[in-house]
Amino acid sequence: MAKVKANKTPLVRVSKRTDISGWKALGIRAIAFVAALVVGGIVTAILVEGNPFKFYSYLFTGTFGTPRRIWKLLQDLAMLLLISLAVTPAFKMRFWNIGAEGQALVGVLAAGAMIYYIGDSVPNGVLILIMAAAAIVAGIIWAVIPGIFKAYFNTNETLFTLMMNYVAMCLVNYFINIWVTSGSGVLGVLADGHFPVIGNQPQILTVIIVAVITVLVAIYLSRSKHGYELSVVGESENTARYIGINVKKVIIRTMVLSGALCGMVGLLLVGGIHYTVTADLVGGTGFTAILVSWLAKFNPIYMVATSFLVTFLNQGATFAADAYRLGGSFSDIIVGLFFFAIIACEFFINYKVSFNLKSKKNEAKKAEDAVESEVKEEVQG
Amino acid sequence: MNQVAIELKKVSKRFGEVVANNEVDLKVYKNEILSLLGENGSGKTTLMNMISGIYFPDSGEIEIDGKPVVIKSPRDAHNYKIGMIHQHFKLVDVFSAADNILLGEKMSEYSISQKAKETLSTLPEDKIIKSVEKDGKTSKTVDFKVLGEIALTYLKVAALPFIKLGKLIKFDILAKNRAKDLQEVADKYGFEIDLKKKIYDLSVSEKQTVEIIKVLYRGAEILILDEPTAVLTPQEIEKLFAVLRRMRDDGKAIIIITHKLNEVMAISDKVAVLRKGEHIATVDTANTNEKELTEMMVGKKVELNIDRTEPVNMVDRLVVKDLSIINHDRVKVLDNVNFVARSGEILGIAGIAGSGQRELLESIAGLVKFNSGDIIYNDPAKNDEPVDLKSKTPVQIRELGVRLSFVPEDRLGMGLVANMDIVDNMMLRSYKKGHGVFLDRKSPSKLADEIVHDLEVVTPNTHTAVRKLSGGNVQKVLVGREIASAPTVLMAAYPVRGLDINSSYTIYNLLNDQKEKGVAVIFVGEDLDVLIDLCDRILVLCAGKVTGIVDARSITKEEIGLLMTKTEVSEKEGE
Amino acid sequence: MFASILTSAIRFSTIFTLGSTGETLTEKSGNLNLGIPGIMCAGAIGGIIGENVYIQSLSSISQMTAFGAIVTPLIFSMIFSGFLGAFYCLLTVTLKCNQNVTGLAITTFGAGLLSLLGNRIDKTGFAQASLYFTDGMDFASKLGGFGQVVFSHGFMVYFAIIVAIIVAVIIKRTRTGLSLQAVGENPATADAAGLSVTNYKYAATVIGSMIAGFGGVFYIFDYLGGSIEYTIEAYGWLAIAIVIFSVWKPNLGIFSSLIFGFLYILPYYTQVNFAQMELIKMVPYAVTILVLIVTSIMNRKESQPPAALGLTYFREER
Repeated sequence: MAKVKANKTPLVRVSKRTDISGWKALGIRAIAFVAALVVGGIVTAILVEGNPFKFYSYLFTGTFGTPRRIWKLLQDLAMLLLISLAVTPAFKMRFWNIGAEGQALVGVLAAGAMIYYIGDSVPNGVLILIMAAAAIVAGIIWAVIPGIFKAYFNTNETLFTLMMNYVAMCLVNYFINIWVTSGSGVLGVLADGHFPVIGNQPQILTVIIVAVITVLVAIYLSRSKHGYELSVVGESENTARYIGINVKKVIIRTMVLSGALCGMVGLLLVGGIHYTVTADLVGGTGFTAILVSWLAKFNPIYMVATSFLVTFLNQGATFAADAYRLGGSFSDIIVGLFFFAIIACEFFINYKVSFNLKSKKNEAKKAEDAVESEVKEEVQG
Repeated sequence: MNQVAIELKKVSKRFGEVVANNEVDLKVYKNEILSLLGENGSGKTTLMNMISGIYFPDSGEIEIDGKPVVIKSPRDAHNYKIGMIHQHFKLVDVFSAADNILLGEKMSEYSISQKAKETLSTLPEDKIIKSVEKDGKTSKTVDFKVLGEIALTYLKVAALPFIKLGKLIKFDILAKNRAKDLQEVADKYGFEIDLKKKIYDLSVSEKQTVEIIKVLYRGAEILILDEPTAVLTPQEIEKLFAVLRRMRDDGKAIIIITHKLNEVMAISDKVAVLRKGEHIATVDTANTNEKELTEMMVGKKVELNIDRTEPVNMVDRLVVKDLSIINHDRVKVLDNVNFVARSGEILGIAGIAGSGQRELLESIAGLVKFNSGDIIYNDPAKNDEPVDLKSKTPVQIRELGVRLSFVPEDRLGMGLVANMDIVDNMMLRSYKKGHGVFLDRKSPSKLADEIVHDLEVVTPNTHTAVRKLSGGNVQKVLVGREIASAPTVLMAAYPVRGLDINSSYTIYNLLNDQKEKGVAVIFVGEDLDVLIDLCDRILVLCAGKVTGIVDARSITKEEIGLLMTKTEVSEKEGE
Repeated sequence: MFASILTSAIRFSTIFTLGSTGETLTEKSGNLNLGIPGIMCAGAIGGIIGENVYIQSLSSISQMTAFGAIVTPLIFSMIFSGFLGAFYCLLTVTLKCNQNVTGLAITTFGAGLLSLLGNRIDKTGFAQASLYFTDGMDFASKLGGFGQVVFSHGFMVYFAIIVAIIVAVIIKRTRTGLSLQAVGENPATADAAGLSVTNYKYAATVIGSMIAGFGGVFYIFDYLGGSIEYTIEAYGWLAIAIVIFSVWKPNLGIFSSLIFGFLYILPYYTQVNFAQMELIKMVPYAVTILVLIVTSIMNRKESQPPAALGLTYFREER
């Protein structure tokens, strides 16, 4: 008689963790980071002949080697952080806005257009204000359109915002081609609308602005009524309904904020860094920001750390690539590896994997056959 | 004598501390409809889920056709010809009914080795080389006929994998008229349904029909239906019963989970009663009656030491008039409900789960729009001036100064935010207070401390996410918050579900305190003992209708049980 | 004139057809694979490496055969794109990570891989090898305009259309397709019906990735004639747009790809300036947005994305 065995457990069992200590989670992430670096080193060793350990020293000299590099690091960090902050409120609301790239780009366009059309006729201070207003409004428009359709018709926001990126890109190219009559398709450095330089370092202003915005967004998310409402909507729409939050209003309001911050990114890129307009001015940062924000668990303070790691790797790997003559895309690979490692490690933070190796030898075969169906039974229970 | 289709022997299942089934024995015969009767939480569904492979028993044995079996997954159950129709249908919305029925169907076994053996067994016995006598001399020649046969046989074996592949491809291709073939089967059984229709176009009862056809199509011999009548109209129930009887006469064993007594009497041959996870008895339907079944189902009255005071200063606080709601599935979930909730008393609401309790409370709270009727609140702050709550949102209700608190059934999905800490959950009700843009965390924090202290919430601190708390502590947090706003009406839906006895008493006492403070308390409960001991009056809902509002001090459990199951059929009998 | 535009459009649309067919197959299983642009890049680099390996193995270029020059890059491409597709599944299905985030990381990685390795690989003999890809039917020129439009293309153009039709038929007409759609629409139901959600997701994503990867190979060896350009990522995003545009139907995808291809090359054939050219390029994206809006407003169940698209399935949660 085949008696039903009591505690039969499958070989591998995956269950959701409810609590993991902060240190342990940090440890898992640190291991992932180190693993990514090791793999990066191996990849480098395969690609170049010579000492692979040189790669690691390049990472540091490329980022901290000279004051100039440190300033570059800070500036890139600031821009990545700002755009990550921009996507965060929407993500906290579970609105998958992957259109930050386009929202920032229309900000670039609007700011550039203001310089182009009225740069000569108004004083620089006024121009900067007008640029700011235009860039922010443009960013808002680009973000709020998918927001409205999501709120009222439940239009898929991921695909919508993705398409908006390319519309923005075409729009930028369109205007560049209108402005540049030579046919080169490249808009040179614009003469007006440069932000004031503080203490001889053009990067300082950007860094200060982003630092202030970081604090403001952190406060908005954790201390304001709006921030509270959007977290409730993100966590449970049913609860939001229960306490009488207008979900549509919250979605649209949050997308306005996201768009405004992306517009800020565009403004800073034009007025504070590049002083020109091109279609790849944002350069994929809008996509990287999604990863940065997600890895930081949508917490603005953690985001400083994650955007630092990404910027550090990117700039360091770019430097190493130059030294090895590997070409600019080498850093993409290194950053990609880092993302893979970190994404995968989230599994081990969120889920517990337990192994059961107790099954007796004579039953081992049988147990193997049973594992698949048993896992099913266990999980369905 | 009928054969036993399935037998459970001392099957037990526990979830953590809770014993869902304790050494349950059950026998179901072929050509028989068995009703599994029991109150909510008596372990009916758990028991059936163990037969259908969703849960695995902790101990005990299951036998099918007299042979012990192990059912570890729905696929195992399917192989043993067990089909279960769950309360929540498992159908793909955008597929036609026919495609849902076909989904997951496997090709019948085609074993190459077995076929090869069969083919090889037809090899001719004759030898290829045969001796032929010719002109007195024996010469050996090759018999080409035999050779040809042998070659053909081996060729056939060699072709088997290709035949299998061909069969697989042929099986994989969906015929254009697949719905037609299925339709014929369905028509033969007398199902009135168009299988070409998409699931989203079907009514609830049609969806159920699809589930039944799906189970039949897969050749189930043992059918389990989990509360199949809960979503059906009386006419549809009659049709369902006709189908079930026809299937019974076809030799199938049918188990139907229900707690509607009149249906039990109407459909089943035998009734098995479960109470608190134990099998009480299995009786022939012909030899029992509703009263006896009720007694078995609810058991002996348990004395609860709930300190019930006489209501004082009763005022009509909330008046519900002719309230009706028709839901998305065009089912009338509330039908002409009339009642009054008075200050200083606890009004209990009894009824089988899904009789309209949730819709009733949510429409009072402003979460659900109702089709007709009125809800009037008499405001004590304004000398009991009536306030119309019709088509008001929760925010508007609050702005009107109506102090209404609501402890919903779904604690972590509606009443609280599971991932937020206790303080932030306190804020759900109060965060809008004050004019600034910033949150005031001080007073919610103080409130959280008070609740944790006063209600003895077991938690490391007030900054622990509520999902990490145990069920009882979660409920204390929720009820504590709802009481904190000094309500004049307090609604609580199943506030002690899943709670241990001590936490349950904490909640009873809190409700009693509120009553003594002059709050109109509405308590939706499932344990009749508690309803009788805690409440002053009890309103009984049955399929969206009020079947009675009774005095809790003089009513018996059996009487409530009968009201709970009093559908139109039994009403007519009563007249 | 028109015939030559149409010919170019058909040829160019092949990269979209392959990309969108692969992505449609993937999305039908509920995986919103935003890594497809990167996977197309990986397919391209796989093809380049494969061709390089093949040519290196010959003692002289004159020994090159059509079979070797075509099959080796295709196999390498399948390995590369299939590997990335499987990796996407490992992260999103087995390790239950967020699909959007994983997809974006894959795209970053794949695009990086193409430009990193693309320049470093010796492309001697590629021009000759690409002739095997571009050769049309001999009789095409004899049939005039019609022959040019229909028969002058390399084999991958027809291959793409056939693959799209096969995928469409499998999705619509077979039990395999039915099961796949059930996984993408309602994994819990598929699970209860005894289907392995994990297997379907892996199979659809890996095969879909391989199909999309062929798009990269086509672009390098047929359209560019064996040289290299890094715009594949942008076409990958357009392929995702086409999936929406064709409301998740690969047979419609063929025509959508043609429309997108037509719009993409139209500016080169017309007397427009650079600015107007950009506006024409914008049309496909704008129209896709319009389709997205219209389908969501009309809320017809058949033209919606698979209901569980973008969601990870974990049986314990429900």
